[in-house]
Amino acid sequence: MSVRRGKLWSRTVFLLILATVAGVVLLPVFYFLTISFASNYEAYQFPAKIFPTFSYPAQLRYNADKKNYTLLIKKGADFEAVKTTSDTSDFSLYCKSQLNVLIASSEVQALFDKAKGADHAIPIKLKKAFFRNYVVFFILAEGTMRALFNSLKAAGWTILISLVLGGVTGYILARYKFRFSNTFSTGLLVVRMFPAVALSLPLVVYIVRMNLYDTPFALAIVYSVPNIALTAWITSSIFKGISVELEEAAMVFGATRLKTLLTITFPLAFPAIVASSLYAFLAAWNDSITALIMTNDNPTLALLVYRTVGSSTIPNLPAAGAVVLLVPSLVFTFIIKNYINQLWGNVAL
Amino acid sequence: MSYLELNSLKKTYPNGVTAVKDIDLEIEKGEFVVLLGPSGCGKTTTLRMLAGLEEVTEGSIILDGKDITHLPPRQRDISMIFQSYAVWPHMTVAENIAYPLKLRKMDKQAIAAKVQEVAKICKIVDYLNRYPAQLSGGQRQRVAVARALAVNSKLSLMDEPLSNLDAKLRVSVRTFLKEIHRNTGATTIFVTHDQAEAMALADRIVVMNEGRIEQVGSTREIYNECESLFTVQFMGTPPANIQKVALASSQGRLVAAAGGGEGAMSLDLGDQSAFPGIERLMGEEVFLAVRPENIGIGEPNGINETSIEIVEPQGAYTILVTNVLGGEWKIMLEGDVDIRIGQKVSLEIDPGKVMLYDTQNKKRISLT
Repeated sequence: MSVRRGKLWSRTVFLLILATVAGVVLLPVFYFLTISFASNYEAYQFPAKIFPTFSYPAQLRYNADKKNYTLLIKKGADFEAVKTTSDTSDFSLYCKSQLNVLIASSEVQALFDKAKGADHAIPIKLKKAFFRNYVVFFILAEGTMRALFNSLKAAGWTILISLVLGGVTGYILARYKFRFSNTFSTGLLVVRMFPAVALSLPLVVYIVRMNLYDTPFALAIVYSVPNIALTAWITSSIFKGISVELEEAAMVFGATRLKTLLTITFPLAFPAIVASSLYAFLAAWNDSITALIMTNDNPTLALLVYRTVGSSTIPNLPAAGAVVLLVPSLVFTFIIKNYINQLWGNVAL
Repeated sequence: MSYLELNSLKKTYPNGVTAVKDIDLEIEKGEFVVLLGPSGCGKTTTLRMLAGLEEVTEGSIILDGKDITHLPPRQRDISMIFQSYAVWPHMTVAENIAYPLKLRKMDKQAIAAKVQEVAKICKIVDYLNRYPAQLSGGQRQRVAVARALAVNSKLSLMDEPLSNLDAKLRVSVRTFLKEIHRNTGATTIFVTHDQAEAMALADRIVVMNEGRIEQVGSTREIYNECESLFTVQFMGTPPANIQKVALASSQGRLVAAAGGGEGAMSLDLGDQSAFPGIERLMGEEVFLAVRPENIGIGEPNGINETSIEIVEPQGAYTILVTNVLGGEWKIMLEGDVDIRIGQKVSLEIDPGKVMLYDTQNKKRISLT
């Protein structure tokens, strides 16, 4: 009996720990997602809403004494007056900017007329434009699309440079024994320890001299430095795992060295190549500090989000930017997740 | 001129180790030659030089009248079966077999036909669309054989192709390889350290040791007419028993004797007149080698009264272990023998099957 109770206890504790960890990891993400859909009005409310809302329960009241109209939004059990005006375009603008509700002046006029006819506050339904923050982020935040392309370009170049240089280094480390080869591979890890800022500050000088300042390619150069090392590290262990006899067999049966690399070695090392490109992508995509130093008119998306944070007192717009930033990473990771699994042993080579 | 010639082949690695020292070998078309030797004897290095996977330091290789010494592997027109099978894991069985044919620019229909043909021979038709990871070791080996078979090369190389298989499978694949060789007549060079494999497969065995050829010959010659002490000690399971003896003449008969007192050895080799030129060795010490199956138990000729230390029944035969002058001797008797540990027996060595070796150069002393 006591044994079973002990088991129940350990199970409960285990589940509690699991739930806590899940909560700690997931709640902020979830909160961010909710905030990214919140209007300015909602973002100011306390306590904040857990789930995103689609519409407001609201009332419109005609104040006969002042000949104007008051918009009331439900807060708790009561309705709170949020805007009083007699001008339809003023009302419409307020709805758009503060509530993320798109309502034309003519429709406002109809509502006004209806409220005037009634002797008490009439219930009205204000439907939220759900993706308004994202639209604003893309249209109003300056050059978002360009920043997105800059990010993609920088990430693309980073992947290319890291894979070519890192992959070749990894192959050499795996296949050839030379003096100091162990020292060399340890050295690669040291390179990886360099903080990006420490690298980019002196590099800026050379970048400017090379006329590359403020270009995604220059960013890619800085991002590649630690990633070449990481790629070499990852790929060399995979190349080591690919039996030399597989390559020799190809050569004996008629393939040139290059053909062997392209048709035997690379396809077998594909999981490692994909994993390395994921790291390269994430490094380039997530960085804002290097971009802050190395760009001026051509910011990356991450930098743009960072700037939005700086210029906004409400977190909903930066949150939308952050979600935009997150989506490509997620998509990229999901596309290649099978190969990553393969790399770490789920599928035998 | 032979089909394949290895002339003074030598291989020295950059670190100074000489793996192959001066190999001379001539192989005829259609021969099945086995390079046999302990690990590190240079047999695999020799094979890899033939394949072009290892740079030749000195000497030359002539295949079918063409010097291929410094050609890259792809231009040598050879096929190879590797120890690890080396079937490409990212290709299906059919793609594995077709890959070398594609590189030879064969047209698609011919490739498909060839794949079917060799798959049928190797009994892997049902697996053509599978990946190697879905096959057993034996099946993968068959894929490797099919791939080598499909290219129809001038020379077929096999680098310990059976050593990764379990014992039972090894014997059946061995038979399969022999059958294939009989049907195709492909000139084959097979590397192994397993003498049973070598003896079963080879037309000729090349015994190698420390980068040199010890002896070249048929299975019978390699086993019964060992030219060097190394070969006689290496061949046979269990290997031959060796004893340093002095040759002497006694009443017109040649006697090999060793030790004194109890457990001394005295072997009557026969009438001295049957050994012309033996006089020069009288009183000299030589190594005497005798195979375990050439020793019987009964009338003493060799060792008187020795006690059996270990009995190893093997079903078809029984191995007895005894102590001869401080060395361990093995005796192989046919069938199940009723001998117990500790039993005293006398050894009867067949004088006709004894081999003598020079103590200096370890070469065989010819007694005829």
